Amino acid sequence: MDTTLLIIGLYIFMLAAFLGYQLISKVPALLHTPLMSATNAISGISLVGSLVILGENHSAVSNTLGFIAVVCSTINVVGGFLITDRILKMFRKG
Amino acid sequence: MTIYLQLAYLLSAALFILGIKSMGSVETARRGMNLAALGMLVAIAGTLMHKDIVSYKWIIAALLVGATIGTLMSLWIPMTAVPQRTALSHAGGAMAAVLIGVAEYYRHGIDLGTIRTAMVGVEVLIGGLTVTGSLMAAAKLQELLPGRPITFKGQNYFNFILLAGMIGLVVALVFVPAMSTIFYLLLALALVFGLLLVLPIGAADMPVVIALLNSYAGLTDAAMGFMLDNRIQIITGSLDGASGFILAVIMCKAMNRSITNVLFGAFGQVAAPSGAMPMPAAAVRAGATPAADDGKPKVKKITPEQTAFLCRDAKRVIIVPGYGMAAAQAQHVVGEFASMLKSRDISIKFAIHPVAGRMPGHMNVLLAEAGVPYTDLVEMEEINSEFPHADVAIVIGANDTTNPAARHDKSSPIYGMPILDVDKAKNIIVCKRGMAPGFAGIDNELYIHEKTRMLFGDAKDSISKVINSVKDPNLKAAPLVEEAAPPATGVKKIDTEEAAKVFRSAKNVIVVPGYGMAAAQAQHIVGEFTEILKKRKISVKFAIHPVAGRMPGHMNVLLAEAGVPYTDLVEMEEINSEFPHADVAIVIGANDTTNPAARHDRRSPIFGMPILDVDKARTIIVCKRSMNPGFAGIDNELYIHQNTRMLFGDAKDSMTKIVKILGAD
Repeated sequence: MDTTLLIIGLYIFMLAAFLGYQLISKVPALLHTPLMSATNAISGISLVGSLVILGENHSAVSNTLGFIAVVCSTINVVGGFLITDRILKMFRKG
Repeated sequence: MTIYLQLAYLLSAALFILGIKSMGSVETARRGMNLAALGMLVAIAGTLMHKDIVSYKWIIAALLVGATIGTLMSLWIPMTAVPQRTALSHAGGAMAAVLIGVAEYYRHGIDLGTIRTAMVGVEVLIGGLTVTGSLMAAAKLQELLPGRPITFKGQNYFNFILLAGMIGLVVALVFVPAMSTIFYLLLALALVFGLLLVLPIGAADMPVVIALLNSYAGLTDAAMGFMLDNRIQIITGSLDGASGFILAVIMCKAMNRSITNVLFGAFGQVAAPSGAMPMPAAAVRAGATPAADDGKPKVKKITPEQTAFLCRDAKRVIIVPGYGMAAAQAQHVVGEFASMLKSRDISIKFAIHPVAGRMPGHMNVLLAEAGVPYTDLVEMEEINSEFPHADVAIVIGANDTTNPAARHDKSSPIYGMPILDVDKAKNIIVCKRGMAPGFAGIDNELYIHEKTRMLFGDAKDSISKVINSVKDPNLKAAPLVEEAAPPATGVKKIDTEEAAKVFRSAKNVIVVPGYGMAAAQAQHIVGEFTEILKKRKISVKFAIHPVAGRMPGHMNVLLAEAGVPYTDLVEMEEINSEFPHADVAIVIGANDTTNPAARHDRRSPIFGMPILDVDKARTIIVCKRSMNPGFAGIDNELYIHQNTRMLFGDAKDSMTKIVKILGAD
């Protein structure tokens, strides 16, 4: 990885942080809990990195680590989206 | 990585952002999250086509195991346990990132290059502490570990040295990437650090801790994104990091504490009163509570039947839920109670403190699950103005967030924390097992308030009994419940002599000017009046309603012309929180902008207009020619408020007389 890629990455990081600040500030307190489970589900995107490492079938050690990582991330993705939806379904108007 | 996969990730990132944006309102949230889930599906499906993937056997197995556990966990978990689940998922996410970091280091080691090595170091450092920190938090929430803070001497110094040491190790790793000892030592220390970080934090501060761990988990993901050069992970990690951080700040504000104080303060460990000598609790209470005339405040009890009677005849009821309600599994009964009162045309609302429950927004979820519509869940700032109009406020399992000491007792550890103004309600019922203090370990003044009655017992039992009693058509008036003070409806007058006396003994005065003041050409004498008060070390402020005067900012100009410094001119939103602390509020020529009917009387033409909360002041003096209504042509409830005194006459004349009396002292 050369410095150009690092700088591009840092730009992306910074812009996403500002965007996140803007978006999250507008979320009403009512939805703070589903917000947390939602961001949790979304950050389960680390699954894609784990998938590649597990799929490369490099060695027993890397497979074991990759396997656990894929399981953990999948729990977050599936569980996160499902529980967010379960919570949001409960909010109703009076 | 092929261009198609990159484009798929780009699409996913857009869908994720739309998903988070949709959380801005309840109406759009579900649809938005479906979009985000679609984005996730696109990313995963795209990745499975990755050319480096040669074996699917283990991938399929891992996906199945993860999906099964995830589904079971999210469908069966009770809503009270959502904070634990969230903490566990932070641990899981961080663990995945750490393991991938270890795998990368194990496989490539010295070939990673400077930047990647540094990123792996950061990933393992933040990820490691998030794993054990989150597990600690989950264990505390699940009560596997004691909820109270665990501290030892020199803890903060030790942690600081540990952190510095770990940063040193990351730097060393960059220079000597081949030395795997450094890497694994770093990992071990990070895991230990996570434990030490959460150990001294009490259960009451868990909302902050969970939000912070959310932020760390996000940063770990971002570091992993840098290491694998995966942009979408940088984006989601950054969003997650920002989200957790903002929520942590919001929670801290709601408790009036700084993040450093939460992390290093070990709050709730000691109920240390700042005064060194131990005062008898009763004496402390008596000093702080004007209600206790005889110096010995009594706790008044109430039975479920009497509670039912009180609620049945009420028009407005506010329920104040706390985590104690959920701990007693009473939320469903409370939901039933609320819908029953509603069916009797009683207005019912829930007052939600930002830190009610164990994670941000937790109480909303618990009540929604119990069938309470979200439109009845009202946030603190909004509901506080409604307490004075509530016939009954019922506190179920909330404690420190209702303690009036937070407003006035400087020696209290919770002083300054924003609280629910439950004590302003006409009748207060506290449903509680005993008189034990809450997380902060201090006595709650609310319990000995003159309007408070304690409904002792298990919340679930008590509320069930209340429900049965309300249903009982033979329910008789309960003799033990005295009537609340009858609202005074007469107009009370005051003359300039008496008014001057009131100002003499005041410390905080708020002047509420309206166009009537300018019409009577009284602004200059009002300016003089404030000068005199200030010389007597009385704080004077002007409450400026946005529509005071005849054009935007008009009143400011009129008063500036009369020599009032602009720093004393306070806008409505800011000054409204100060009225409850004002000894005297004097209204000069303002009318509709001070009418409390705007807050609660739906039939009033000014209903919903933001007003100055003049009625919250301890004494209100209205300087006015007569009882004539203002522009809106309606009567002003403020004029018949029990704390209001009418100073009839021309504003300029009246104020001149008061200035003369005060000036002659």
